[in-house]
Amino acid sequence: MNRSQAKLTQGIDWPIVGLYLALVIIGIMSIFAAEYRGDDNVWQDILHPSKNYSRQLIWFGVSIVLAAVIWLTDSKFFTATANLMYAGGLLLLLLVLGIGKDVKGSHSWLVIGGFQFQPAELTKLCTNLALAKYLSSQETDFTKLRSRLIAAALALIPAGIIILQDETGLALVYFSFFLVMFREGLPGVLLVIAFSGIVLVLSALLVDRTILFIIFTVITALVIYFMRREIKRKRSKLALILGVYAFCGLFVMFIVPFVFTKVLKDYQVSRI
Amino acid sequence: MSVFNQPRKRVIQMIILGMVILIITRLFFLQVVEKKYAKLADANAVLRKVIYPSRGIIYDRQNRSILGNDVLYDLVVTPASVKSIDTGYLCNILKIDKEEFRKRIVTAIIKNGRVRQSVFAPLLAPEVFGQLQESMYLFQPGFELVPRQIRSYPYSAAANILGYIAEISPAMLKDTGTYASYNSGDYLGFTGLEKTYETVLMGQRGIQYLVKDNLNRPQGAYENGEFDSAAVAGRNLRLSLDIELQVLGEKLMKGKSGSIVAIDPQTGGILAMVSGPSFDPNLLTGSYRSANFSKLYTDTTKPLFNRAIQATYPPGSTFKPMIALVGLDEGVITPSFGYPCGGAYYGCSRPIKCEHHDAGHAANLRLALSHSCNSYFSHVYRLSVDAGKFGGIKVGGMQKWADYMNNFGFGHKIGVDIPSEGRGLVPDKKYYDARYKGSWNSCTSVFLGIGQGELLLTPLQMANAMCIVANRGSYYIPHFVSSIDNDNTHLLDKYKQKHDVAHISDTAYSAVIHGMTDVVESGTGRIAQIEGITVGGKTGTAENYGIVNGVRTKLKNHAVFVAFAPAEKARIAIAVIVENSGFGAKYAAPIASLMMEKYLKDSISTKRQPLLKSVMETVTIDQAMLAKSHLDSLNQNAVIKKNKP
Repeated sequence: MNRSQAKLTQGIDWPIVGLYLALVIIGIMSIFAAEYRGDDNVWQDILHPSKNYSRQLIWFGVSIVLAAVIWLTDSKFFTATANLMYAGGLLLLLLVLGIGKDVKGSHSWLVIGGFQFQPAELTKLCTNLALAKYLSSQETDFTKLRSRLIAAALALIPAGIIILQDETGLALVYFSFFLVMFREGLPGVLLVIAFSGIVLVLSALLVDRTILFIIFTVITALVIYFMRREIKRKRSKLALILGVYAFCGLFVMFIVPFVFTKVLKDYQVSRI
Repeated sequence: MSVFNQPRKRVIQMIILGMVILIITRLFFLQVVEKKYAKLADANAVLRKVIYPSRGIIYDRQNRSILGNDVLYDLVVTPASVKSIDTGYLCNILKIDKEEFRKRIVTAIIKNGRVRQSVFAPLLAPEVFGQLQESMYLFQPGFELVPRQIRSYPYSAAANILGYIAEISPAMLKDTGTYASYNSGDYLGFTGLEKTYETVLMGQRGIQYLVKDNLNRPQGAYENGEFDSAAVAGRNLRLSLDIELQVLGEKLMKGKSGSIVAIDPQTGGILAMVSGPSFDPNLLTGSYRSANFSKLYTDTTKPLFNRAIQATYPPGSTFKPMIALVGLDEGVITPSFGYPCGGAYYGCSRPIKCEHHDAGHAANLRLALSHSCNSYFSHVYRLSVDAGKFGGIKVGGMQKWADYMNNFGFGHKIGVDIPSEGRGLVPDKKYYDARYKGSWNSCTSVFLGIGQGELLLTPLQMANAMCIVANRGSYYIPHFVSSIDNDNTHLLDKYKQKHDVAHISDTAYSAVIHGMTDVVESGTGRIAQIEGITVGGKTGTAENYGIVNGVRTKLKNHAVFVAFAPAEKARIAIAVIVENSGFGAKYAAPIASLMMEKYLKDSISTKRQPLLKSVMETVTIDQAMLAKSHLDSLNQNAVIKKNKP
C-alpha cells in the first residue's frame, strides 16, 4: 500500500499544482466579489448555478475530477494514442469549418446540445502530445531538414485551419512550439530572424517611417564598417547585408501598410 | 546530448523571463504610473456629492429683500420600498393617470435603480404639496418629500432687472472656458443681475465624499470626511433700487408700452427701471418656468424685452438741451442768443414747423427751451456743425458734434450692470458719407437739431444725459448694485469712478438748467410741477416710423419726458417714454412727475391722487395687440400660484 502511494505522488510537480490552485481560487474570488449582492443566499446559489461564480466553481470541480482521471491513467496510454488524438483533433477542426457556429466574429465554436466549445483549444493538447511523441521517438534525427519540416508541419497545420476559422489569436499560440523545437536543435538563427521580424513590424507601426529609414541606414553602415575585413575577403557578404537592408526598407514602406489596411481587421489593428 | 542542450535551455528560460518582465512592466504602468484606472476605480467606490449653497439675496436701498430663496418640495420615490399603497389616491392628488404613474416608476428604476431615490414629481405646486403632506403617511416609506430651494420675488416686480436662473444648457456645458465649474443640472443666472453677478450670488459649492456599496448606495463619509469641503453661501447684493418706486412705476406703465429710468445723479445708482408692460418675475421660478417662459416669449406685448436698455427711440425735443450745450460750448451761441421764428424754420429747402409763431418766443435760450422752438434749435444745430473753426461740416464739424454726443454717453453702451444693453445710434461723418455718397450738408441732418432724423437713444442714455445736466458735467456709470457683502471682487470699481464730460462751462449748464426749470414752471411741461420742489424738465413728442404690411408708415408719436429734481442739487434724474401715445406733456410728463414726487417726498399728495388714478387707467397699447396678449391673466395666475408652500 505504502509503496504504491509513493509511486503515485512521485511524478507530481507540486509547485505547479499550487500555482494552478492559486490562480483558480483568485479567479473565482474576483468573480464572486464583482457579482455578490448583499441579500444573496450564497449556499442556494452554489447548488443552483444561477451565478457566474457558482458556475465557475462547478467547472473547477469537474476539472479536478478530470485531473484525477488523467493522473491515474498510465502515461503509456498517451504515448500510444497521441497520433490518434492528433488526427481526431484535426478532424474536429475541419468539422468546425463546416458546421461551426459564429461567436463574436470567429467561426470556431462547436455546439453539442446546450454545450459549446472550441476544438482549437482541444487540439492544443493533441498537438502537444503528437509533437512530443515525434520529437522523442528513436527514429527522429532532428538535425535533418526532413524531420524539422515534419515537426513544423505538425504545429502549423492546426494553426492554418484555425486561421481559416477567423481565430487568429489562438493560431498564434501554435508558434510557441518553435521554442520546443529550438530546444531540440532547430538553428538559433531562426529565432533571431523571427524576433527581428517582430521588432521590424512593431517599429514599422510605432516609429515614423523617415526616422526608421535613417535608423536602418545607420545600422547597415555600422555593420559594413565593423565587418569591413570579412567583406574584403568575401564580396558576397556585402551583397547579403545590402539585400537585408533593401528588404527591410521595402517591408516597412510597402508590405506593412498594405497588410494593415487590406488584410487585418479593425479590431486586430487596434489591439496591436 | 545534455551538454549540447544546456545553453538552449537557458535561452528559452531567458525568453520566458523577458516576457514576464514585459508583462510586469506593463502592469506596473497600468496600476501605478497611469491614473486612468485608479480614477475609474475611485469613481466606482467613492461618491462625490456636491453640496449646493444658498444663493445670495438681493436687497433694495432700504434693505428690503426683493429677491430671496424659498423652499419647494420634490416628491421622490424609492421603487423597491413602494409596497401596497393607494396608487389611485396618489395619482388623484398629482393629477396623473395610472399609466403615467407606472411610466414614472419604470423611468426611475432605469435611471437610478430600485433601491435609490429618484425624483417622481419635481417642484410641487403649493396646493399639491398641501394635500400630499396631509396624507404622506399613506405613501411612506416608498415616497418622500424632499425640500429644494428656489428663487422668489416677494414684490413681484423688477423682473427684467433681477433676471432669473435656469438649468445650464448642453451648449453651455460644452463651453469649458466660461462654464468649466458647472455640472449638468446646475442652475445659473440667465438674465439681469442674476447673470451679471452670477459669480457673487452663486456662492461656493461644497463637496462631500461618500463611500458607496456595490449598489451605489452611500454608506458614510470617505476617510472620515478628510477631503470634504463646506459650501459657502452666496454673497448678498445691495441695490440702489427703491422697490416701492419700482412697483409704482410698473403700475403707472400698466397698459402702456414704454419705459421709465430713474437715476440718482449723485451716485449713478439706478432708482427704478421699468419696462412696460411688465410681468411677475415669480412666473419664471420653480416648476412653472419653462411653460411660462414660452408664453411670455410669444406674447404680443413682448414683456421679456427690456425696453429701458434694449429699445432705442428718437429723443425728439428732449434732445434740445444737449443741442444747446454743444452750441454754447462751441461758442456759436450765447445764452442771450435769439432767433426770429415766425412759425417755421426756412433755413433749408423744406420748412420745419414750429408749435409757436408769436414773435419773441425764441428771443433767448431760456425762452427757446421753455417753448421748445424747433426753428431755434435747427438753427443752433446748423451753426454748431457748420462752425468755421472746424473747417465746415464735412471736414470736422460733423465729427466734432458726434464726439460731443459720444461724450454724453450716446451711441455706445454705457455699461450698466445688467446684460443686453443697446447702443443706440449717433450718426457721424462716415455715416452720412456712406448714406449720401458724399453729397450732403448741414441741411441733410438738420432734423438732429430737434432730436429726430437718424438719432436713436435708449431710455437709459436719456436718463443718464439728465444726470450730466443736473450734475453740471459729470456722471457715474448708471448701475444697480451699490455694494456687495464681503466684497472681494472688482466688479463695482468702474461704478465708483466719476466721469467728466468734455470741459463744458458751468455757465452753459446754468443757462440750460434755467431753461429747463422754465419748461416746468411756465412752459410745455407744467403738468410735472411738484409742490415745493424746483423741477427741471423737457417734453418731447417723437415722430417715428414702422414697417406696416411692408410699407414704411408714420406711426403715432412717442411721448417723451426727461427731468431732474430738485434743480439746485438733483437727487433724481428721470426719462420716461410712452410708445405711440401722443404728446410728451400729456402722457410722459405726469408719470415722471409722480415718480419724482414719490421718491423725493416718499408719498404722493392727496391733491394728485386723481392724476395718479387717471394715469394708471390710461391704456395706450394698440387695442388689437392687447386683445391677443395673455400677459394680464398670466400675471394674475402668478399671484395665485405664488410659490409659497
